[in-house]
Amino acid sequence: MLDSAKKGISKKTKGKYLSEISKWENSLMIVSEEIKFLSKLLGTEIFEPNIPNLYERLQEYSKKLQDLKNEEILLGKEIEKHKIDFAKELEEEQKDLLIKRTQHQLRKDINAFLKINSGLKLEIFNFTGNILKKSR
Amino acid sequence: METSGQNYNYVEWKSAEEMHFSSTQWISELNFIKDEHQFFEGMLKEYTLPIIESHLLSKVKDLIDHLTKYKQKVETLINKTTEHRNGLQIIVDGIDQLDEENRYKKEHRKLLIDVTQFSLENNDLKKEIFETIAQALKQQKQKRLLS
Repeated sequence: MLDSAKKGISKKTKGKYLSEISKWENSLMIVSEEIKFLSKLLGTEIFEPNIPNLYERLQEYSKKLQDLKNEEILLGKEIEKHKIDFAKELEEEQKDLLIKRTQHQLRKDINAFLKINSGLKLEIFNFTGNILKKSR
Repeated sequence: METSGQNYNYVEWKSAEEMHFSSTQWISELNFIKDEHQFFEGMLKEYTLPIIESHLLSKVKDLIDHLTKYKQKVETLINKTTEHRNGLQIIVDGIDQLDEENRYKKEHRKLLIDVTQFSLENNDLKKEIFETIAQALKQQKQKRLLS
């Protein structure tokens, strides 16, 4: 193994990781609030009724939001598990490797999740934004 | 989005590629916020009947005012960040211009703080909009059930 790989994670890097974790937690919290709001919105009678396939489209978006919510819960659990890794009493080298790997994997997963979330939100905005019941 | 917890040293040691990546990410996030604003504005301005009926009109007017200000802010930030990203040439041209490079890094740090701050404020506004609309919808539902 290379020396640099053996060296492990510096205190500074661990600090950066923890700050990144806290940022992820905030992002997931915001996403959770957005999902709650959009789900509520899709379930109310605020849209023009004569839109073709309106019910099916709203159902489809509600389902996608529910899937996203499930994914958000899973990611939240993964973050919690990862935070415990920091406190685990393991051999230093083994612990660093575990933390590093999980941090990278979580970064990848959360970025992918946030990208899907943004795409879905935009789709819902575009669809519902045009079919809101106007004041008569 | 990066947090304001990152200090000056961190920016000082950011590579040109990292600064370019951050700027591009900020622009994309700010553009997304722009789309969100458009949706919220449409919702607050056009979907007015339940809002009037729920007596939340003054609250909504206040939110629309805030949104208008935030729309201007987001536009300014997009322009500043785009200009900043385009100015990266100074760092990568291979010519030693220490003052200019330091100025660029300072500007990057300032933008990091501004974009992060704006994002936090925007999240608060969004939360308020969610709560207000949810309240209007709830009252509308109650009214329908009673009628």
